[in-house]
Amino acid sequence: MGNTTRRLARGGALLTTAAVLAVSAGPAMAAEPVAQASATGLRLTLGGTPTDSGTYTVTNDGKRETATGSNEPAISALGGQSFIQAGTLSQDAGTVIRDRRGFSAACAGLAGDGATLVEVAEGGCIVPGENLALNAGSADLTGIQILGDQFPQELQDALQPVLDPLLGGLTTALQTVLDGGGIELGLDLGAVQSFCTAEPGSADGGTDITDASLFATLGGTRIDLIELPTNPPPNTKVVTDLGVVVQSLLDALRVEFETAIDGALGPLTAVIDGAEVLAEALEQVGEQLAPLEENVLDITLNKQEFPSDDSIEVTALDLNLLPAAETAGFQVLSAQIGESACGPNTRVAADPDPDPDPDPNPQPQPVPTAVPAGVESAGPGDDGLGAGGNLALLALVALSAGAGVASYRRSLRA
Amino acid sequence: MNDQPATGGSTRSPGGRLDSFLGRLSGALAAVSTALLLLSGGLVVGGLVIPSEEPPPRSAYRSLDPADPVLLLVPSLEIEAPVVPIALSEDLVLDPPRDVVDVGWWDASAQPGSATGSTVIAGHTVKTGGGALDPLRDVRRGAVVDVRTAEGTMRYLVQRKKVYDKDELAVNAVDVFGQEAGDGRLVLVSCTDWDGTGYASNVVVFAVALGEPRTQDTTEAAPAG
Repeated sequence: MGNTTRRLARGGALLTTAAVLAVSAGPAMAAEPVAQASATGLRLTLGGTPTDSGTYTVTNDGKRETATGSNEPAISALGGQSFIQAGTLSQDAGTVIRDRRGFSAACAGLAGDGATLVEVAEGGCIVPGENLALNAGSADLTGIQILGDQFPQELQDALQPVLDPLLGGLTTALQTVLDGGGIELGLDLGAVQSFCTAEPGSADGGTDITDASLFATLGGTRIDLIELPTNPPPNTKVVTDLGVVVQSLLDALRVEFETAIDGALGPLTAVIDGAEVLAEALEQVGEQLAPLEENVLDITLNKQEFPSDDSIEVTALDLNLLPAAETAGFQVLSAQIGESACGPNTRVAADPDPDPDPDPNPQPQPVPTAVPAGVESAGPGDDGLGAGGNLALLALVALSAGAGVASYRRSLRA
Repeated sequence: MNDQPATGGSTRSPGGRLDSFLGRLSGALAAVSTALLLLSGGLVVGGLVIPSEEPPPRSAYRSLDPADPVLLLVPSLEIEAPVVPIALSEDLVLDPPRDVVDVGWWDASAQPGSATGSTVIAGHTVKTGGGALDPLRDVRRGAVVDVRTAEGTMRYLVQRKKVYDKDELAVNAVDVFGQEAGDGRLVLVSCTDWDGTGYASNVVVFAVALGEPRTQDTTEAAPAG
């Protein structure tokens, strides 16, 4: 029983050791690709939940190209998310070996319906079709309210007879303005795509943006925020706030509040300044919307990173909602549209020619055509001692000389 | 007294007894011959049919790593000569060492122990005697030739001997000395045919490589197999 247990333990240890060796040796034994590229159409993190379109990766070992992932991503595969509901997603990559040099290219992006996908070798991979609207998020403003106890004490005292009807009227007016469900933030685009190429020693990339703009919707009304450049330089920053949206909201509230205040303050118009009440009500709303006037959206266009001198990663549009937006009620959103990566690429190692062509005209090795190996007699210097004999003679001479010196020294001592 | 010889009875003459003895002797010899014949036949058949329990004889030679030669030995001719490397001159003359008791190994030829090419060793014949290869022409087929190297001793067996005059040697140079062919054989070269003023021909001895003897007996060739 004990022996069996020990054998099992030894066997397990051997298997474990073998597995560890195999796993650790695996990467070292894997051949470095000569060319490589990858593409991810869309990567999304919404409410802390990440999802993406998958990554299409190609590598070339100098003899053949190997691909993993899909180059036909489907938006439906992104699952439950509100960022994108329609459109054309693209991600493609390819490699080629020319003159033993590895070349690779990739492109990735997003476009509206009707976009045409083209070969990656042509640089970009999308020809725009219809525009596509992306929902970058919405802020629920139903929590905004106007409270009587927030008015100055003097005003509270003066309004006491009509405070309840006044607050009811202001709240109704507020709901009228926010009837559209709050602020929605959207991205309108024809196409957004990145592309890259790499070859041994270098890599390059860029971004194409067609008809792209940021907008907000307030109560069903579209408010344009910013137009995105067509060919943005690398790492173009676009930071925006929603101050214009807030101002539009306050303008609409002012009209509604004036009506409500006029109605509620009718009996007190002689003693109460309606303008003061309006200003105070708008201020209360404005304070609650203050986060929207900070930077809520951080966008980087044509984001480029170089992991090494000969490789590049390009993200066409990198969008992040900032903490201020979260404070204002937006759901945390991070979206990367069109990620392309190329390189590093190398050269195909020169294989030793396994079967070199034989020399069509080999030069024959020279061979002796005469061997004059006979003499009539051994001449002076050819005394017949030979190499060994000469060495022996030399040793004998040295020995004799040593013996002579020793004898001489003995005679001197005697 | 009757001196007539008897014509009846059981007595036999001396000549009849001799015949009888010879007859018995002949029969006995015939029986012995038959028995020996049967015995020898049985032994032959038994030797063929009954497998021997002894293992097959081990090869008397083993391979030797190639190395430069240092000593040439031809016991049957009492040749024992140090070997020094020699080079081919630009005019394709292979001059043996100036010291006539040495022999020269063509340094572009195969090292003893090589599986390909030919090991070429040339040495002087001296008319007045004292040349390392004076007796080479007298070598006999089957003679042993040993070549020592730093790796051991390579043994060869003389297969043939040929005399070329100077023109013939030039014509057949590739066949004699070429390294493209050959399986590690030994080629010994010296001179012969003294014409009163010089040597008119070369004697060339070709020996097949056997390998390094497992025993160091150099008096005769061990069986090759």
